[in-house]
Amino acid sequence: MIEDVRTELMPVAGGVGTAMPEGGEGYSSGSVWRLILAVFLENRLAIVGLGLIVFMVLFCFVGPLVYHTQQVFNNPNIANLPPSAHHPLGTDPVGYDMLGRLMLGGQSSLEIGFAAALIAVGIGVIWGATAGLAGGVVDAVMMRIVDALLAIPFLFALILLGAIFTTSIPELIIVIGLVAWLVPARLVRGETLSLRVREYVQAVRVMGGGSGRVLLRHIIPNTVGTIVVNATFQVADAIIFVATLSFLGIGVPPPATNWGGELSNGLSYFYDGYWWLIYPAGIAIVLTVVAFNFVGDAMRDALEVRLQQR
Amino acid sequence: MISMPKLSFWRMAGVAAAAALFVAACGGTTTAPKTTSGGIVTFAEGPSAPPNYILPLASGSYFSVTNLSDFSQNMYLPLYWFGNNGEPTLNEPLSVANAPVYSNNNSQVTITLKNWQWSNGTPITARDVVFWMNLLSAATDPKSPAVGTSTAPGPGWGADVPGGFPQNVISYKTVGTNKVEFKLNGSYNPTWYTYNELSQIYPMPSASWDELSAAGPVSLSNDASAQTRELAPASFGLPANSYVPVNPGTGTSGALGVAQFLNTQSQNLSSYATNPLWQVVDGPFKLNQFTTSGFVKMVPNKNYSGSPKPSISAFEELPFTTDTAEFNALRSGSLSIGYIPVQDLAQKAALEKNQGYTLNYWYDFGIVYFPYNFTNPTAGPIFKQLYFRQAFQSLVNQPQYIKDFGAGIGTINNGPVPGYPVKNPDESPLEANGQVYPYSTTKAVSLLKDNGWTVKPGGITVCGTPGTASGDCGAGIAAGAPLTFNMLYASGATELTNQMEAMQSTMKSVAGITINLKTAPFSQVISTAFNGCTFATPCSGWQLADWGGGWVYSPDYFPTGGELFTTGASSNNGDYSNPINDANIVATHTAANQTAEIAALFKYEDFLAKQLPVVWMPNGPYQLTMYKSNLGGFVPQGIYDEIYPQKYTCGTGACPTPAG
Repeated sequence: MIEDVRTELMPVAGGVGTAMPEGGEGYSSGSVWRLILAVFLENRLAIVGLGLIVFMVLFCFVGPLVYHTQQVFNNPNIANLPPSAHHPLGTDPVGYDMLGRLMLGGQSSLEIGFAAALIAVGIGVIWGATAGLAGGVVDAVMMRIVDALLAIPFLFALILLGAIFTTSIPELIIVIGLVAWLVPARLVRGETLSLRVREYVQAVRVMGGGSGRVLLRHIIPNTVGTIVVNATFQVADAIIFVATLSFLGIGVPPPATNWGGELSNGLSYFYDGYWWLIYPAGIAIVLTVVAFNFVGDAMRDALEVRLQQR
Repeated sequence: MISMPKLSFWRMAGVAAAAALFVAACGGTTTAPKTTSGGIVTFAEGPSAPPNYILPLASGSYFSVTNLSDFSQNMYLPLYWFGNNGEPTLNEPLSVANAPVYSNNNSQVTITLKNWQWSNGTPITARDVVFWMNLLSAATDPKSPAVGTSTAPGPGWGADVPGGFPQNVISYKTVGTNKVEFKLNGSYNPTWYTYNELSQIYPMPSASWDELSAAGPVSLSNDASAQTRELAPASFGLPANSYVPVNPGTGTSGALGVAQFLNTQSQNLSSYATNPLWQVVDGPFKLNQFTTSGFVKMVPNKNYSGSPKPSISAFEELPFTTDTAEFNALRSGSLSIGYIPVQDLAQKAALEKNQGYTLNYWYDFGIVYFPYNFTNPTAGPIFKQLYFRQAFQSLVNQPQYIKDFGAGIGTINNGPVPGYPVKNPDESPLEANGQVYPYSTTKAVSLLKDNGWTVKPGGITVCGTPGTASGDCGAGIAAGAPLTFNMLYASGATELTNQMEAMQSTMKSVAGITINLKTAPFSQVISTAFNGCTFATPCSGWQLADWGGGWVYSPDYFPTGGELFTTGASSNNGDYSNPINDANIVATHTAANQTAEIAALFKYEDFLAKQLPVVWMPNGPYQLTMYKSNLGGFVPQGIYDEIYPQKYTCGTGACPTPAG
């Protein structure tokens, strides 16, 4: 198993100009990951991004265990209070503590982001790899379907699906996942077209290996770099999408919340000077999305053989 | 004198004024000077509430202020215009007909049309009134075949009441070209009949619209089959002595076919501006542009017969998805008429100083509420329990909603009769003097516990003692049935959103009642909630629905509630049904004098104040209107939410040039 990853990971991005022999004979698996880690750690923005992600995860999921607030039942008697020692980020228009609200909103934003990205990448990988490996008519039909779906404005599709389904966290995950798989499908299909003519793939076929084995044991594992990089961007995109949907009023219904919904609610009070309803949620969205993009960029650098040879 | 009911005085004054004008009109016609100041007045539509229906014959799904009062009434005038300088009275100068004349012990009405004309120059005749009556009769006839779907309803009438207009009419006919004669099936209170029944008539251009398809031909005989009337058989389920057309037609023939054709055309929003049907109007404006997103541009109808004539060059209505988006437009000064969201009221002074606006509270003759769907198979049996409705109402914290979400503007709503105008004499002492079911968490919980519910604050309250005996949950409620309901409410309005979230929280934390909230645009909420739900055809698609407004008493200008709370009424959208209430309403129709009229009205409203057919929500201004201070003719605003763009004049800066 380790051998497969070691030998097949390298040629994925080997391409023109690399001195790396196909099959990746030059490194042990440990050295590969050490190299990847080393390249990743060279990128200071990546460290910042990773730190931000860890912070956000701790803030949203561990924070409520330390900072206890009532986030199910509101209290309009304390609506729109400015930040104070009792409410460090003030309260919202129905009296929820905003710091606790931010944590709760982050939970659903991150959950939806991670899960939707997982679904999108999962569907995209299977679809793209199958199309690429099958080739011919099957490939053409499958990719035209992707092209056709890509022609539909993304936000329009999300709003349409969001309006059809009753919005809850699981349904938002499914809706975003079902719309976001198109890009990874194209990326993986491109990788597969390159991989399927490799010698080790032909060797598997000569030895009687079926398409399923080729796909699952050799093609998909060798697209892992592309997949991981794209997945980080998918998480960031999903957080943006769910924020957008919530901003447009198609987010999770109360008392659940997410950062986009909080931002939308806060904007109704923009001219009242209630900055605590707007900036915290807005900053959280920006920081989290930027963090995932930093990490994604760094992972692309780390997994890109050509860049490793700089 | 002190006991003199002022509202009734307004109505009587209106009738007297109408009579005086009728006399004056007999002596000659008057012409108002035409002004040509020009300018485009821009008017903000409600958040997520663009117009989506142009035909005045609108079913419950389209029977809204945004479609009728603010949109189609600018083009299609009702026979009788109500609203008179901000007072709830008949406005005869703006009406197409002179005041009705009652005879034969108030069982016969004769209407004489003024010599007004359609925009194509043809006169508005008695035949145009009969054309409307034929279409209305067909659309409200119980034996008419079903036309349309739940998502695209067929022709119907949002003011339809079983046994009401036109089923309380034995016959109607033209007498010459200018007179229509109605024979009624009984002797009615003329005030009620004028304000609530004849108010439902819109003359329609029969010479242009009496067709079954766009290819025509137009014929004055297509609708005629519905004019012959008969006593409705008992199998129709209508009140005794109701009359219906012998032959209402089908979806493709006769009067119903014409109504269905017009309805189909009216559902085709993208063709509004180009469809020749809608270019024949009698109102002060005609449609010039319309987009499916709700942008409306109307230009003056040069052949408008009424007075004053429009002096502006165009009237535009602009759509907004949220009140925040509208407020941004207001801040830019690009609107002649907009509204300030209540949460932004602190910005009033800045808007007045920087953009030249003036704030004017738009109070209307209406009530705010949201309905229970009594026909819902799951929730209906629970909603039918009076103790449950009492408990539910006791958990609606109206004072808090007014204080925290409404900037302190508004009044507690206790019943079906509006509290505005102030000291409305039609409002009973019980309704006026305080909440019948004030906010009380302890009372709500005890009501539920006393009736067999296992109350779990913060959890899920379930029925612990099913059955119909005293102390049991009630008929149709099974053991373990949860108090969990779905609430659909209109998106875009911050105040409503806050109310819903606060109510949801209170219900759950205090009584274990779960409210699952879901938002939708205004038009979607009303098309869902006004979907012809009856116990014969129950609706399972909604349980509670709040479109954020309630009801303005139009065209039922005398608030006897028949269109809202009579069993089977079209706008009784949750199908509340109570025979005592039905009898109370009927009693208001036949009161012999003013004292009896008020007594009957008080009896009706006190009963409903205690019965809670809907959930009463705080009454407040329909809108906190901001209008350009130099916009002439704007105030007073219409008490029935009607607008008068023909009166507007553009002073300096009042009509900013629209973008694009």
